[in-house]
Amino acid sequence: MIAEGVAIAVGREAVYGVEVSSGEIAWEVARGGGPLSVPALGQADGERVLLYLEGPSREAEPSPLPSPGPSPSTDATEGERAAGSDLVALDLADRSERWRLPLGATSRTGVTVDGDVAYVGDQAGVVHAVGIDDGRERWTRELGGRTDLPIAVADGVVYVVSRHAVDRNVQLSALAAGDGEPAWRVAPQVGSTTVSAPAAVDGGVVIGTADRLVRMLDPGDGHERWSVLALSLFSPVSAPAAGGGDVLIADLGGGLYRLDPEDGSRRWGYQLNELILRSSPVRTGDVALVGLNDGRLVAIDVGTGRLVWESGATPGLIGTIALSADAVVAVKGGPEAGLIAFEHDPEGTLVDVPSPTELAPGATLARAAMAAAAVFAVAFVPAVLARRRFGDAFETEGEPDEVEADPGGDG
Amino acid sequence: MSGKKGRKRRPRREARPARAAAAEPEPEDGSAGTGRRPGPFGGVLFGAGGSPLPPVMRSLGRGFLAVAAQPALLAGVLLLVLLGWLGLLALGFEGAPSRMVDALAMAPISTYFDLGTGASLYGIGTSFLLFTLAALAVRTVLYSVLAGVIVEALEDGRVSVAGLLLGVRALPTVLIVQAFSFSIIVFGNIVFPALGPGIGFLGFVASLVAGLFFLGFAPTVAVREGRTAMEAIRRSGRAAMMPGGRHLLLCALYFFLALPIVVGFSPGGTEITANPTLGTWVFVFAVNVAHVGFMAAFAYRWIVAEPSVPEQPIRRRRPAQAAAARGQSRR
Repeated sequence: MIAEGVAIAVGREAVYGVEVSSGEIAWEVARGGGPLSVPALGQADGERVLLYLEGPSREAEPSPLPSPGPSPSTDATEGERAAGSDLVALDLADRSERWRLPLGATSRTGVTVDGDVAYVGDQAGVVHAVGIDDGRERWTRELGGRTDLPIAVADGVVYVVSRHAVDRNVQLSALAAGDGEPAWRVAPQVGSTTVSAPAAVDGGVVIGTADRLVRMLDPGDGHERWSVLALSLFSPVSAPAAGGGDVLIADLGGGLYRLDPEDGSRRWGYQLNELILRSSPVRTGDVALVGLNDGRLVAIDVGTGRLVWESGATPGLIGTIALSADAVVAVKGGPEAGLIAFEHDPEGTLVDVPSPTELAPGATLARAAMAAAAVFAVAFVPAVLARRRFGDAFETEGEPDEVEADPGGDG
Repeated sequence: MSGKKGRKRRPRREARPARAAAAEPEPEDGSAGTGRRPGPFGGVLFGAGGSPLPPVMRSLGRGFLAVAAQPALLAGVLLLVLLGWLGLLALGFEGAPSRMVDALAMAPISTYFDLGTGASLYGIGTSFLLFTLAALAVRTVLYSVLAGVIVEALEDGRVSVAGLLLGVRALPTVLIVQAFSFSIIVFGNIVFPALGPGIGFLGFVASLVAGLFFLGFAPTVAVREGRTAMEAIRRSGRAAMMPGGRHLLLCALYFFLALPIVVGFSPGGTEITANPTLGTWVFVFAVNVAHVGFMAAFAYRWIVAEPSVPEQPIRRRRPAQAAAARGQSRR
């Protein structure tokens, strides 16, 4: 997330503001541990508010209880903090804590903001809608299982995935943003909880499920408007991207697809042959960006579906991507984990590399012909010699046995 | 086959005189009259000597020689693999070319290949079922023709249209073998997971090996004897059960070569591309020639053992009866 030239990232022990132009740490706010997740920016009283999740300081069993009522707390006890995560709001201007809300269970969803409400889910299967201005819970809704994927919100509907490990079942619920009332619930029978985060697009919500299908569901009643097959599963920490009349989605195996939101037809697919574990595709201008597990950031031309540039592979994956006016900032994993920024290289030239799944008939047939000739020669010539030595497998009755016929040598 | 040219063919070096199983009763210990004790699994795994089935290495040698020494057959195999890849691409397949290493594998590994390819292409649904049926039909024709050509290559040392047409006799048998293989895999996928990951997996592997064990001779039986499909399959099973031939060893060897070894060592691995490298092509072609070589090895074993395969199931006597029979024979 980038605000006013500062990239904001949640670390284990602090929340950092990093100058995009220089990579210097502009500020940091201490954080009490907990799973790393994506922060969000909201507005309250005309001020920009930074919202993020903090804690628990040590991993505790998820509490079966929902959050403790609608009273925000700024002084949660150690016990409460150990039991679950807090949703924390800071005034971005001076990084002073505005409020803190204990959720009662560990949260991994990150924060989603729509208007003046922040939405988070927790490991106890509870969705919390929290007012950004005062930190009071507007509503909570218990869905069961674990709500640990990022939440999507659009047009007054909150889309939440809950995963039930015991039943190996996934449910996508649509809740009214105003009061949390369930509008519909869909549970694709795929026998696995591996599913992408949902994304709201024009006319529906898109999700990738464990049967390798990208599904577009109707926002009104949740019926499936279309589905299209990808080449592999989807990472739960990767979400589709919508906009510009397209749906972009990346599968775990390295496939990036541009789909028509009307009917799901594939406009193109690019196979990167590298895991895409923690990165969601991001569209900027005419290119789609995605980070790979081998440390590459790649850019695919949205129009042609061809690779136009890529960074070099480095240890550690590329995760969440954020855009500023003159740089692409991404989360970097590996031995030197942190943030990495990419800027325009005036000396660089664009490439035009088709997906490896695009047949190059000349080269492929030439290679096949060479290989066939080699295999033919290696098999045929020794076989002819061996046949002269050992003769045919069977002889016509009456013919004398000329030689011992045992090419295998153990008879 | 032999009737085609009005002359009989016999193995170049017989292991022993052919026995008329119906006329000569099987010894009670199942050692096929050699006087040697059968090995574990009744001799089907490690052998006990004196089997009507030729030794494994000789079978493989003869099989590979029959395929590799026939330029038309060899070229046909290479062409089939290339056409198979282009056909899959035309259907919209996106996957690793290394998958093609088992394109011409024997059933049920080939069925496994077809199901995996269908699922990759269409997911699980109606299109997948249609693809599977189409693959079953194509493979039936292909493997029937191959069976005819292989028998001709083994017996006459040549490949001609006659062998191709002879393969038509095997169509019903190969169709049923393919359907059996499909059933084994579907059944295995439903039942064996219930046994847990360890035993379930072993059970699944065992069912695949068993499929190859009992059905492996059936196409050759159909080509050679022109019997009904079920009778060909029965005779295939009886031949497989003949003691001392290490047939289970051959089947297990083939299975482990064709799946974990070949797939694991395939150049390019899981890289998805429509344009295989030269190394991948060489590997894929070579392995598919080897698959057809194994088919020929099975055919060779059948042809050698054919006179000894009993027309009826062997009725095994109880131990007490067997002891009494031994006592009588001593007297």
